Formats: sequence, C-alpha cells, structure tokens
Amino acid sequence: MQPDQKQSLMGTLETVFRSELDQPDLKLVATDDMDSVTGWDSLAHVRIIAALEAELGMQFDLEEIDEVASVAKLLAALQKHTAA
Amino acid sequence: MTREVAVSMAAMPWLPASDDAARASLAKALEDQTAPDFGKLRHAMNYRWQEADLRRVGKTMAQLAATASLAKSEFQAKTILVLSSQTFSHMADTLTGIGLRHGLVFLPTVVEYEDALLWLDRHPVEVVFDFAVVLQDAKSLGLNPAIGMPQSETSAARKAMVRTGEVLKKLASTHASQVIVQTVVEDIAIPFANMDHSLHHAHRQQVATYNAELAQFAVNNGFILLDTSALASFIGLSNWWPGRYRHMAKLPFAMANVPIFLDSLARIAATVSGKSRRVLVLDLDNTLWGGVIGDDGMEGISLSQGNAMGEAHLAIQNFAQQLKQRGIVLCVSSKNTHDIAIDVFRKHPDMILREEDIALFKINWIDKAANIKAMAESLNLGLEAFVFLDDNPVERQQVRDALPMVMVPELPKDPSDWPLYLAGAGCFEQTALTQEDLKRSDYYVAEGRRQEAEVKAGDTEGFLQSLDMELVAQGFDNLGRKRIAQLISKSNQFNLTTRRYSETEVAALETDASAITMQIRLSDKFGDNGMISAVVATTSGKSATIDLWIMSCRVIGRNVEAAVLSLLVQQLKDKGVETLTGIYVPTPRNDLVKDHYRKLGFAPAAMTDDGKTLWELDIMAYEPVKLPFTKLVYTP
Repeated sequence: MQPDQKQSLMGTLETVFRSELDQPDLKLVATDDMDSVTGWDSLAHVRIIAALEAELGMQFDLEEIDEVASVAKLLAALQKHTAA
Repeated sequence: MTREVAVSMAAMPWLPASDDAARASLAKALEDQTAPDFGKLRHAMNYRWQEADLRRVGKTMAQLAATASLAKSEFQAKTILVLSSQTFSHMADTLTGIGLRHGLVFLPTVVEYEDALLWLDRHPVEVVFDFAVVLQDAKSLGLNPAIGMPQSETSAARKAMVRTGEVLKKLASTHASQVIVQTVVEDIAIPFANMDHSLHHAHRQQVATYNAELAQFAVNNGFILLDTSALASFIGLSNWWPGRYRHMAKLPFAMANVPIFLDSLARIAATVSGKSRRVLVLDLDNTLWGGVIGDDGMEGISLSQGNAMGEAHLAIQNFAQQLKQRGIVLCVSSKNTHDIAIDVFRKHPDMILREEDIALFKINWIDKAANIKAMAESLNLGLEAFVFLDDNPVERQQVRDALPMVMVPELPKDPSDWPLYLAGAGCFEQTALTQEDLKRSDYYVAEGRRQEAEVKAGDTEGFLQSLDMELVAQGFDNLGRKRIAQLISKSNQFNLTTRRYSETEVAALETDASAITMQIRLSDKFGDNGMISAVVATTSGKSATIDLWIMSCRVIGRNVEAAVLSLLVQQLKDKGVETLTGIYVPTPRNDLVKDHYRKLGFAPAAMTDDGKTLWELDIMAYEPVKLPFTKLVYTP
C-alpha cells in the first residue's frame, strides 16, 4: 500500500465522519474507536458505512461491518476494497 | 445518451441541484444560529441537499424553535410523535431539515420497535402533540408471507386493521391533534408468485386488503393517509428494499429513499397546516404545446394526436385539466403577444385547455415573477399556494430567486417525462375533499375575469447581471449560413422588416463589402442558447440602413437588442458612417417590436401610409450604455 493512498483514504474517512457526525472540526487518529469518538454509535456506524460505500463506490462484506469498529480496522478494510 | 428517466426518482430530480450560490445562501442563512435569516433559509431549502446537510440544518432549527420564537418568520413549529415499528431515529433530524422546505419546523419524539397500543397505555398524555405518525410494517402487523392452505376465516388483514384502528383512535383521543398513518409496503418474498394476489391468506392479497381498508377507515374517521405503499411502487420495490440494512439496523427501506419518504410526510403535514398549493401557473410555448406560436403559427405548433411531440404536450394539458377539475386554479404566464396566444385557446381544435379553464392570463413581455406576484394579489392567495411550470430554465431560476415561496419544479428536456416528475414532486397534496374544492377553480376563473392588473417588472437588472451572459457576434459565414436562413424564415414576432432572405441571398451577403452582417450567439450560466439573432445593415457613404433585424423570442428581456446595437454602431463608426436608419414594417405578428427603435434611442423620422415607420440614430452622438454582459464582442 502506497503511503499517499493511505493518507487519501484517511482524508475520505475524516470527511465522512465529520459530515455524518456533524462535527466539522473532528480529527481522526488510527487508534480512535467507537468509544473514543463522540456520536459514533451503532446507528451512526450504519450511516458511516453507507456513506463510505457511496463515496468510494465499493461495498463492505456483510461480516466485516460489525468488525470495522475502529479507525485502524476501517482503513484496513477500505484499503482491501479499493486496491486495484 | 442516457434517457433522462433513468435518473432515480428517489434522488428527487425535480429539485434543482445545490450549487455554490445555494450553498453560500444556506451558510449565510444560518450564520447567526440564534437568529437565522428566514428568507434566505426558505430560498436555500428549495434546492436538493445531501442528507448530512439536511440533518445539520434540521438540528439547528429544532434547537432554535425549542428555545426561541419563530413568530417573525413564516415557519411554524410542530411537535410530532413518531411511532415506528422499525428504525426511525436516523431520520429524525433529516425530517426537521426537510420540513423547512414546506414551512414547518418539526420537533420529533421518536418511539421505535414498540407495540403502539402497549406504549400508549404505559405513557399517559403529558402534552398533546401537533402530529402523531404511525409507521407500521407488514411484519409487525402480522401480514407475513403465507404457506399452505388458509387456516382461519378471519384474515390477518382484518385482525391487523382492528388493531391499527384502536391505535389511531387512542392517539386521536388523547395524544395528538392530527394523526397520520402509513399504508404497508408489500414484502419481496412472495411464495405463491403470480398466484399471491389470488389467495386470500397470501401476503400480497393481505397487504392489498389491509391498505384498502385502512384508506377507507382513515377517510371515514378524519385520519391522514401517508401512502407509503404507493411511494414504494413509484420508486420501484427493488430500489425500496432495505437489503442488508434491515438486518444491520432494522431500517425500513434503503437509505437512498429517506429524503423522498420524509418529503412525502412533510408535504401532507404542511397541507393540513394550511400550507397547500392551490394554483398552477403554466407557460405556453414548449410547455402547453410544442414550438413557438408567434413564429410557428397555429398550424406550425405541435399539438395533435398522431405526433409524438404533440401528444406529449397534450398529456401535460390533460394533467393540468385533471387538477383543475379537482379544484386547482390554472393561470397562464407567457412571453407572447396576447392576441396571438389567446387565439390558440379559442380556435385550435386539439387544445384540451380552453379560455374558460384559465383564471388569469398574463401574456406579456414583463418578467414572470412580477406576473406571479400580480396573480397572487388578484386571486388573494399567498405566494406559497403557487406552482410554476416552464420549460425554460432561465425563467424558472428567475422565479425561484425572486419568489422563494413559489414551488418551481425542475423539468427534463423531454416533455413526455414531465408527468413523472410532477407526480414525484407531489406539488398538489390533498387530505380531504369537499364540494367546495371542486367548485373553487370556477370561482377563481370568474374572479380572474373581473380583475386584470398589470404590474411592472421588479429588479430585473440584478437578475440579468447574475446570468453571466456572453454575447458573441460574427459576420455571416458559410458555417452559420443554414441556421441564419432558418432563423430568417422562422422569425415572425421579433422581425422588424420581414425581409425573407433566401439561403443564396444570405451567401451573397457573406462577401458583400458594403453590408455589415451579424450572426449573434448568446450563452449564459445555464448553457448555450445558440444563434438567437441576426442583423444586416447596408451602407452607402455616410449613411446606413438596417435591412434585417430578427431575434428569437426566447431571449426577450435580456438586453440583447441594446448589446447588438452597441456592436453595430462600433462597426459603422469604423466605416465612417454617421447616420443609421431603422425601418419597422408592421405585420399581423410583429406588434411586439413596433417601439423597438424608440426604446433604443432612435428618433422618429417618417411614417408612410401603410404604417411603415422610419427611425434615425445619430451615430456620432450615440452614447454606449452599461449592459449586463460578461462578454460582448464582434468579429467581422
């Protein structure tokens, strides 16, 4: 994985989180998870998943959705799905 | 080339996409979150927004309405109790955001996954809600896919209806002023396949029976029906289907349908809150018929059976006629010569709409917002009662900007798809029907005949300035020849001399050194209008005569004439011409331009017995005026 691709996925992730959680100044770090990010509850998670899928034109596997409950895991899954 | 109907209806394509200007307007409206600019907000909400934007605006306004007063605004705060058998909370803020489009600020209380009757028993009334909405799905009502032979005489639909009836009556008697209930969407799993509608215990028939009984029960008891089943059919069940989101989060339908579902709910709530749309304002050329009556004439417009374009426009007329019979007031606003356009209503054998169907005719050359404002005054109705239908995006934008309360649906190019857009937009909601409703239109028609007020244009200059118009004029050349000849043969209204040059004559002018020729193209931020005007001036020493000046009526009122004159004068000056003569030759169709030269600053010079007028302009004394074009050039 190229470092700049990882960075751009992180950027997309941050944009989606800011918009879905209505926190325009939100900053994400790799260690963030559903406990550390205000408003990231199970319903927001579903919205975030849907928004990421729409934004990146990909689809998470059904079994992944519950698992990707941290920024690091989301990034890893996104990298897997957006790899050429 | 994709057909425009391929656009998903769930995306609500009748709303204009939010552009930078709309985005800026929305940001500005909410800049001061304690005191929003309500006018700007209303304007911004006419656009199509992302759900995230709607949620944010909704949240802001709900907070504001809970703590401060909306008294000085046209918005009404409405408490709403949502009893949903599936997940609703992901839509709560969006509902408030979308309600703003209809003048309401919803303050939702959401109850999910509960049996409605049990919940109501456990929660005695504290405050009476303005609205309660009951959103039940097939499963929660026991309308499950059936197997085997029918076991019981009492159908599941009957049992479900009895239960729903109790919920609705309880809500109305204790919890809410108005009760809304949705019809049920059938499930995708239909074990009996094509036979599912025939078996009285099977799913599809159960759902149909329940919905039919519910609709009857609602109208008999004053409950308001939200026909979610019809909406899901309109969208298409396969697009409505929540798929994985049902299993992940008990969502009732795919997320893409959230805005249109909430819009449908907000619309009927607005209707019972006294904000119903009651007037349909129709354009004429390329709206009620295909073509331009002033140029094409009665025989030339498309308006008959057996011709696809004609039938598409007849279908639009039919749609309007049905609305009129239901009590919607029809008006006409068109840039045309009154007598010519009205003749179509009187004499064209294929017209469905007739003069007596239309309450007010505003057929003139002033801007449409001014016309609609005058209509509102004449009919004594608020602007929020108006819907405006026009094929021309510039006219639509002008009305939308000037009168944000008027509903102005975006429309696809192909008129065949207009009924689809209009059905989706649900411009005219209704929650009750009375004899009075059916007579209302006739009443307004009579009222309209009594009054005929003309109003002057409002601030059109700012509007023109915002169009970013680019006008490019060129001498005649072989590339433009065909279109120039066509324009010359088709222009009847804006045509000063009715000189009909043939294509050969046009070709000859290309190399005629004594003539100044101009083919004029206009574009603006909405797109290219193409070649919209042509001028020919013949010179002889220090004088010149305008032998041809034609223009497409689509661009009337946009200062094109003055811009063309300024370019022409520049050319004449370079040739040493000092006096310019304009000629107006009256015909039955060009009354529109009888004062053309006077308006441009020419002095009357002579008049002949047959009504022909001559006008003169002193080139040396000509002062260029400031014009609203971002580009204005001539290349020989």
